[in-house]
Amino acid sequence: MSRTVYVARKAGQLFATLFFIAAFNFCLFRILPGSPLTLLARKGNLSADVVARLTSLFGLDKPLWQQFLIYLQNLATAEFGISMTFRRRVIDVISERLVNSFMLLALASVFVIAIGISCGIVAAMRRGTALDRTIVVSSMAGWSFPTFWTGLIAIIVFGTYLHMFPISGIVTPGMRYATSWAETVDILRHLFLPTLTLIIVDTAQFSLVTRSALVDVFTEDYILTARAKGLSENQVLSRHAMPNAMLPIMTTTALYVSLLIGGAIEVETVFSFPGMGKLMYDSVLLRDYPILEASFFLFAAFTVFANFVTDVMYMIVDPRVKSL
Amino acid sequence: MSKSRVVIIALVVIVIAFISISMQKKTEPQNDVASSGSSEPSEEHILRVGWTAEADILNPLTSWSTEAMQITYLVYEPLIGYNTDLEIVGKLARSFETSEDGLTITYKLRPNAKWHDGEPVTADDVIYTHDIIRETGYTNVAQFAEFWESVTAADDHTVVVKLTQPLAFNYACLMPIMPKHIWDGKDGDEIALFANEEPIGSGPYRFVKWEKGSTISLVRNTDYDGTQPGPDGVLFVLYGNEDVAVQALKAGELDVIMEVPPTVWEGIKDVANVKAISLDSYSLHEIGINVAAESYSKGHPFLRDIAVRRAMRHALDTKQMVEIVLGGHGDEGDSLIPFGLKEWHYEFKPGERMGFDLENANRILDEAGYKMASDGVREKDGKKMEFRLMAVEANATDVRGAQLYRDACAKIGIKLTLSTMDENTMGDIVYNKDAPDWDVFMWAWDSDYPDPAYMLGVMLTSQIGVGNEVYYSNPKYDDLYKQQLAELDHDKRKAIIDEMQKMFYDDNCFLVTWYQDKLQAYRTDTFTGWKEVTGGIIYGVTYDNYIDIQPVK
Repeated sequence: MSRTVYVARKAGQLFATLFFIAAFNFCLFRILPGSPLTLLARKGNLSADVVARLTSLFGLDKPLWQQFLIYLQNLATAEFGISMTFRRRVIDVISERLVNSFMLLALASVFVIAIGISCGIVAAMRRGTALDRTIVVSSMAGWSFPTFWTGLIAIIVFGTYLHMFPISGIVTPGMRYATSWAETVDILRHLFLPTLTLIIVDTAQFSLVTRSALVDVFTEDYILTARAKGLSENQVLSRHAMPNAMLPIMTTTALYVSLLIGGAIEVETVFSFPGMGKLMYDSVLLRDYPILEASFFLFAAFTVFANFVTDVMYMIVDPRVKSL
Repeated sequence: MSKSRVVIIALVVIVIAFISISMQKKTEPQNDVASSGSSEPSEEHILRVGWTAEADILNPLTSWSTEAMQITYLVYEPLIGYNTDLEIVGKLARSFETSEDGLTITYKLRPNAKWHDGEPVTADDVIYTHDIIRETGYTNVAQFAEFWESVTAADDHTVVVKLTQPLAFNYACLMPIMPKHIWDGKDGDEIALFANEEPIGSGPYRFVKWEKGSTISLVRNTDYDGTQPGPDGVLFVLYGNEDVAVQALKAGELDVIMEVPPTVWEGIKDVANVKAISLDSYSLHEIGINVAAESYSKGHPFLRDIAVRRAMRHALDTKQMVEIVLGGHGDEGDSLIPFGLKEWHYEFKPGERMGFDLENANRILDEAGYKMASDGVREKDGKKMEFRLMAVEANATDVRGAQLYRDACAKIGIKLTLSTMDENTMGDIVYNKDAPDWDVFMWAWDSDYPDPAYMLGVMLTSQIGVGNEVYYSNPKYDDLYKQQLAELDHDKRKAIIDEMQKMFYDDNCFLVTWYQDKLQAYRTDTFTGWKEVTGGIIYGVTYDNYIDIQPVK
């Protein structure tokens, strides 16, 4: 099978999956009991007439198939309709949050992946030493801490006690900046604690996977051969061990990166960070269908796309895929 | 040197750079005001308010959140409003006068009042606001529209409202006046979808900016011809949870917090420069019982028997609930009218109150023919006394209260099966007015304004399935409601309202468990002059604390 056919087949699967997700998303939130207007009448003496009027305004009184068509139309225009809570275009509501979440998670991912893989390599190469044990135990410990707890401890240590970093939000409230550099610095300072928390919690995913993949590879005969040829340890690692250990690492990376736009709800809540995770959580409670549908769709689409890229990358990295 | 070491060293360098940036930042001036070209002095006194939920939209006609009201009542202005002594005073109206028969109210507007865009405020704006509310039915003022005979302008700054009957409660304090020149021409649907992202009002603060998901800022309106606010501006800061907001208050990043959890409240009582306060509120929590008519109810038939509901009242230990669930921060529940509405809240006499009394409860059920079976659950005509009990899982106090109540009911042979869910799901089940398929729930109410008519109005037959969640229907009660609404004599109105409270209490379908205190906290080293008010220094019924407080010199 040629590369083109392989890529085309994967791309076809991608679009089929996306359509399925779109349809599934629609059903998922309509199955949930309750509606965006359920609790409105409970505030003040709103008349039944007004509730009926809003219901029809948001199209919630239409038959489901009509609502589905409207939903597809909203998807096609990429505006995703009007948020029932914020009464603004969903794309506007989401894009603000998306930028914030992406910034936080992209920054965190770079550190998590780099630190994780490096630690994994070091641990594998110094297998059985005190350094190896330290890396394994500390990353396991970080992974085992509940995220919100790690976040709160970071707040208490760096915020309340040391006063080094701000503990909430994305910029200092009410601050007016002299230069855009000052604003960048302020944002970076606000990103520090959430990023640190994500690093502590998530690094283990990469260090452990990298370590175990390398430890497996190191027992192979061709490594012995490589060493016997007189290659240095670094050459053995970069030419023979790493290429073979890359597959599980790439899969982990793809999964991790696909979470980028989904936000990190626990970290966002602890640090009052205006990101996607918080928005989705609040929207579930309010049953804001357009926001939920749009964000889950984007989230799923990104994951599917990241997997597609991984599949293509496999083809490049793993010679066996070519001959499938 | 191996590659991995290079990577690690690079990372360490980045982290050190990060830390040094943060340290360097501390030595810079806190606010770069000068650079923005503002002529304000650099000493700005901005009131920073911490909240944990964001406003929905800033459209005063269709916003649904309490948070939005905080903004809209400072940017817009009603004709009249509550001061910090909870007296009704003129706001946009310099003065107001009610005729002897209560049928004519004359408002004189402040002659120099201006909209934030410079246009003068006139009687036309007040007339427009009445018209649009009557036309669309939006806001809880709409319930009074049926009593408006006419709203006319005697001159540019005098509005005369003629009513078809006297009204004991003046709705005008709930009605921020809207600028006609901006809103005119929008129909009901357009208004419902109008986010009003840059609100133009006539109030003491101007809207500046809304950073979605983090802050809303207001600035003092220097053209305001009423009392000038003490703070130079107000900044509402959103926090992910109350615990972090409290940390921010302690660290001096905030000046006041709308709500402090009871557990945390105890911990900040002794913090320097922080004052933690506990105030009576306008909220109540209740156990609701499905008393919908037999023709359509899917609730348990036993619940329509008054004897069963009386026994359920006797199983409710309100004292224990206040102690265990609220940690003492509240009062025992009885009447539908919250304790905070002091003069209207009915003081039950010893014989009238059905206190916690399991013996009595058992006796009532025995006499009504519900026989105790061997499994400890009563039964009658082959039907077991088993009810479903619902609570909102996010409301920890409700869940705890429901557990205590379930255990108490088990002692009188009533088996309650508790399930918790999110509020929207519960609302969907409770308000399914064609076939209400539930038995008992635990929930809460807030009276949005300090008049007894608010909570009494919820239980009207006309509100069934809209606000009336227990499907209570009592023509006599409905009739008394209409009477009190038109009764201007305070004592006579109180007599009617007392009767309604007793009547509703005796029908035992809405067992009030407690009235929770409003716990708040503020810093004492930034602003002074906070006045403690029932319902809250902010987030209550008065907005005057935002005006009256002054920066600490």
